[in-house]
Amino acid sequence: MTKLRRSLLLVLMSLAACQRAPAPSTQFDPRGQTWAAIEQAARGAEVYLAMWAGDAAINGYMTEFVAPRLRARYGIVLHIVPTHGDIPALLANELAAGVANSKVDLVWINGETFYQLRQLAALYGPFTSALPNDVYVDWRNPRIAADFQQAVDGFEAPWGNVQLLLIADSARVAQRPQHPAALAQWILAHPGRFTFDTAFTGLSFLKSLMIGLGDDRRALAGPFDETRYRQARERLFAWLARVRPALWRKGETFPRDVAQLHQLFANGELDFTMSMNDGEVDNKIANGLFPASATAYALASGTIANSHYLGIVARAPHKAAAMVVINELQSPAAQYEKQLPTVWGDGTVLDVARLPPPWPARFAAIAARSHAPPRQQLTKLALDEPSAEVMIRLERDFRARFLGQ
Amino acid sequence: MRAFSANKVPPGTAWLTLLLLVCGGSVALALGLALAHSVGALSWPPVSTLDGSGWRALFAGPQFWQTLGYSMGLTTITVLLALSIALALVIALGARLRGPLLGRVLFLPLAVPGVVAALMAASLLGDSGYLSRLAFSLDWVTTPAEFPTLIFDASGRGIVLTHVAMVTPFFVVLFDRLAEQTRLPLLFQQAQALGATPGHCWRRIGMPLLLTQARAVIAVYSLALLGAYDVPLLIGAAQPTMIAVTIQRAIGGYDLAQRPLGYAMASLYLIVIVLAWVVLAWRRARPAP
Repeated sequence: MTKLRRSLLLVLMSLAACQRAPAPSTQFDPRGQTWAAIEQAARGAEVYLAMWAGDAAINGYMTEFVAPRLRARYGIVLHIVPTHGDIPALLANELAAGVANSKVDLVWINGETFYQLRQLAALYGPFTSALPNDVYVDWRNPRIAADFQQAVDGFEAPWGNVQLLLIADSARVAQRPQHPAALAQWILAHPGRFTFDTAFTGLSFLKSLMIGLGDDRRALAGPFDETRYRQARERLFAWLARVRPALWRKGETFPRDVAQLHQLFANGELDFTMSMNDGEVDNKIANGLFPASATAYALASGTIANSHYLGIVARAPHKAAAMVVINELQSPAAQYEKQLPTVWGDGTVLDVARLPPPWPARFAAIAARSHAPPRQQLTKLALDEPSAEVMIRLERDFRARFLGQ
Repeated sequence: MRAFSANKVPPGTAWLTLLLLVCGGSVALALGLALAHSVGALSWPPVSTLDGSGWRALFAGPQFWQTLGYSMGLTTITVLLALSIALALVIALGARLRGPLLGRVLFLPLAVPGVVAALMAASLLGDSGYLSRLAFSLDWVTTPAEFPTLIFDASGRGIVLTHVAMVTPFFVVLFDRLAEQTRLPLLFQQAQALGATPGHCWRRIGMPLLLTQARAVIAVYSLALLGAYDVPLLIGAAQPTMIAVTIQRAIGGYDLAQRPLGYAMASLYLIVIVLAWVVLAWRRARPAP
């Protein structure tokens, strides 16, 4: 047995010896360079952007508007690498293997991923202040300057901001429940007609309830606090335990992600869906996926609002081109196109009032959303994202308590 | 040839080495890497001491054994159903399976990738799928939602049905070719000349012969189904999940703290598979009594 143990240890040590520190990247480092030099270095590069690709409208915006524009203006070829929450694992594997040049240059991320990537030192930066369009970014907005309570510190560039909304089919839901207690009553009165997904959007819904079920909107503000987290979690789990038997499939299973949730809603299997993009309902109706009777709203107890960002991978082979891509995505033209309800409906991260003409007028003229409340109204119901640890712990605890994992 | 005899290296040694490296080496490497990751030996950021938290978490809860048991249960049901249907088809259709149309059509499902099969199953078997709408239009159910739950269900019926549809044609082709190779019709003729009925022929001669001849292939196919990923991911329930989905979720999720557990599960699963293979190989190599 001792021999076996020794042999095993030897094998593990040998494998560990295979691990090496990442080789220093020989790629062009744009820091300290002029923007003209960065653009010159970016010309003709192929940039790989790792992003969630589960929404046809977002994919359409990227392939039909962004990619052709990048190619025409800078000769940059943009490739989309579809991911599903596995960016930290992908980059951790590359770092552990000592890969000098990552397979991806850019990543589309949220706070929980940003937190993990910062822990891994997998992001390049600070770089945002070098981007010409950074001067228009609304950094005074705390929901842009901090991502899941973490200061961005120039390691990721804001791309859009959103708020979680419930989407109900008004043809089937006469009175939309406005509070968590009313929602529970509605679910119990309509068995099998409500659920949530177990990925990002569903967890954002659960976080909104964690805060909304208490009486302090800042209950989870600031750094992670075990006691406050447990109190909020137990309130949420008591609510979930009560409604679970009346959830879709009796709460024994849940949709994998929001795309599947939308599909169930579109099929008429559910009366509710939800979106982490407050402009999505108009977009989905325009594209014929949702019925025209779909309407979005925020619970009166509040819903999570946050921003999403673009980061450059620390060992990206094309950092200069990645910066040019981000700058282009932050440009007034790209942000305007993105905000159109018929394109994506994503909120801009720019301070529109500071944009040069004609952009303020153009943004102001964007057609109002007809199936979701105006942003000014929603902002009053916006809840700050708790720290990234809350989401990581909540997912783990939810799976353990309700899915037996 | 002279070079071989001069060095006393038997012919084909290089090819044999390559074969052993591909078959055994890849498994050994995979197991070694999974073990190393499971104790943090290859993790990032690097750890100064080996970390056994993944293994402790694995043995602290029933998750691994539950997911393995669930996978084995679904695989057993799938294989039994597929074998039964395949045998019934071979018995019913016989030589017609080698006809110009059937002989080609049978190979068609074998070319369908798992992802496509799962998506087809979702549109066919879902609560609002074609079957449920058909049942609704025929007044068998009052709403499409009343149609029995076949996908995303904990009992895994959708996974079983999809896998059965995918593997049955393979078993049909296999049994048909084996029947031809073993001259089953000739054996049946002889048995019937001695007074056996067609039913007796299949029960006493055909089925035992085909199943015995095919047992190694059935075992390998079963192991492949046990580790299936695409179909369980796309139309399986959130819980329980089949083993490959459970492992991938732990390794590939954004919660990096789950990775050692995921690799520990992958290591143990690989060990279970290798042990199963060793038992099968040993039983196969054992001389008949």
